[in-house]
Amino acid sequence: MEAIIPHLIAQNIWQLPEANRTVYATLVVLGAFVLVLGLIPVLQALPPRGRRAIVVTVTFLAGLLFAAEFFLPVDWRAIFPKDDPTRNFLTPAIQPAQNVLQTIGALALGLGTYGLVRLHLRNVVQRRTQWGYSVVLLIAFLTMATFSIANTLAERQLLKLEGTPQRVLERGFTILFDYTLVQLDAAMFSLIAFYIFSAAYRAFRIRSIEASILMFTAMVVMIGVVPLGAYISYQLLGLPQGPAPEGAGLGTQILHSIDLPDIANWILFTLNAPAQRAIEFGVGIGGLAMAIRLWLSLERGVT
Amino acid sequence: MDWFMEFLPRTPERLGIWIGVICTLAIYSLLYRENPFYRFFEHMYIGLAAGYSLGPLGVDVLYRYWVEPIWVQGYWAWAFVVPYGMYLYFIFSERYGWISRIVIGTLIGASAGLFFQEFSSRYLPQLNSTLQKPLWLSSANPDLTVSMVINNFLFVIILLSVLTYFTFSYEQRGGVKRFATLGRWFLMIGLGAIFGNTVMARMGLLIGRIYYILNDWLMIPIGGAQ
Repeated sequence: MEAIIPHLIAQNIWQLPEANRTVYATLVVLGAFVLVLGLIPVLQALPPRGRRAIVVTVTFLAGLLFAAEFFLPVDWRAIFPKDDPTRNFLTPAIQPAQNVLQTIGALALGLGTYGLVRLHLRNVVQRRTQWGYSVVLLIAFLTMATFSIANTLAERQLLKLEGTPQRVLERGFTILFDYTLVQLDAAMFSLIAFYIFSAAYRAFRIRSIEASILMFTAMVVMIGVVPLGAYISYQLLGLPQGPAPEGAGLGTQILHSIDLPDIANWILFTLNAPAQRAIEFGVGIGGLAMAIRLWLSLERGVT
Repeated sequence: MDWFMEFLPRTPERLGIWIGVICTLAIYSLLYRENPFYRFFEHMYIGLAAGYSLGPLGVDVLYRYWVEPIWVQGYWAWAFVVPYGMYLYFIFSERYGWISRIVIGTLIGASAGLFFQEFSSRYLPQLNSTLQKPLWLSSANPDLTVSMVINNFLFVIILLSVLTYFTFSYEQRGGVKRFATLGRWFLMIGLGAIFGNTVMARMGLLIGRIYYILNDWLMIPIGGAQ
């Protein structure tokens, strides 16, 4: 401890000395745990209004960093002459702040996992209906978690395996990931192809102008983007392929652009793009309004 | 006989393909009706997906953004991040549950702040490109053709009509209502195109599965595959 204090003052206050860094880092982490968890009785002693004030303040401060970095103008050389003119003084803090969010997000993953495991363990312990499937889930989870974590550690050179254990890890992870999870994933999502047709039938049988437009557009796009569209246009209807030659008449130009693949492309990029952009603008403005409400804790029940 | 011997799961690769096919058929068995075979693989899928995420999304992120900065680079301030994040786990406690809302508030506040940045980087350039679309032929744009101008006009009209349709701040009457109806029809064209694209994407996945079963498992060469 004698070495660390002069080092912090003389060198970089944010960085631990290289000598005995592992020991210092471990002590600091333990200290941080004691300090942060030691705050709990203090927080618990707060009245309900004080608790809400803390949550609201933290929410506001967390958003303030990103909002201020966005709203403050760049080029702070008048105040900080050495600063980079393409950014303001908060810009360097954005990446570390995002790393903090990523770390908390990783902890939240553990929260979800804990919830899942707790639910299925309870199913098994209490022998609830179809508890056998919960056993399957738990075994699959534990096996995959072991291989996935070991594989991640091995990739980071934190787990050094050789010989048979290494082969078991590689082969086991390949079977679990490539031959099982990836296949189940693809099968599960391709299953939607079947259901989307029944959904389409229900949507299109509604007899209205809107439903007709929707059906017609979907049919043209579906046929136009696959080889069937080109076959109908060029083989069956005999339409000319490719762009019209330079200086061609209006009739030839029209014939060159009424094939199904061209019409499908035109629908996608000329008619669909602005409609989607309008939806996105609506989403963006709505999102902005919601972001302000959340940031200022005006949205009750969230914070 | 040679085909049959090759077909059997006698090598690790063949065994993997057999496992993949069994998984695929188990999931597709739902098309007939809900059955124990499907339920077994469905639960296995959830377990595997949850287990897998712990490696790259849990351990890897914690190592990169917490362990490495503290123990390798020596940045001690990061030590407070994980104890603070651990407050999330109080969500399971009735007495201390409110403490988890401090961390949830951090995530929500930061997400709201990040949305301001996203709005500028995502929506403002789109607005800019829409406003800059040339709507008439001029010597300033020698490459512009009549069809491009017509398409640009269509783009602006569709965008404005759909935005009008989504304006609920006042009662739409007369010309505005007719313009909004036009917007609704254009919206249907857009949704039809999205639907068609989604169907084709799912069909692509289905074709991929059929190809896997026929080509990889049954070893029937399709589309020039050996």
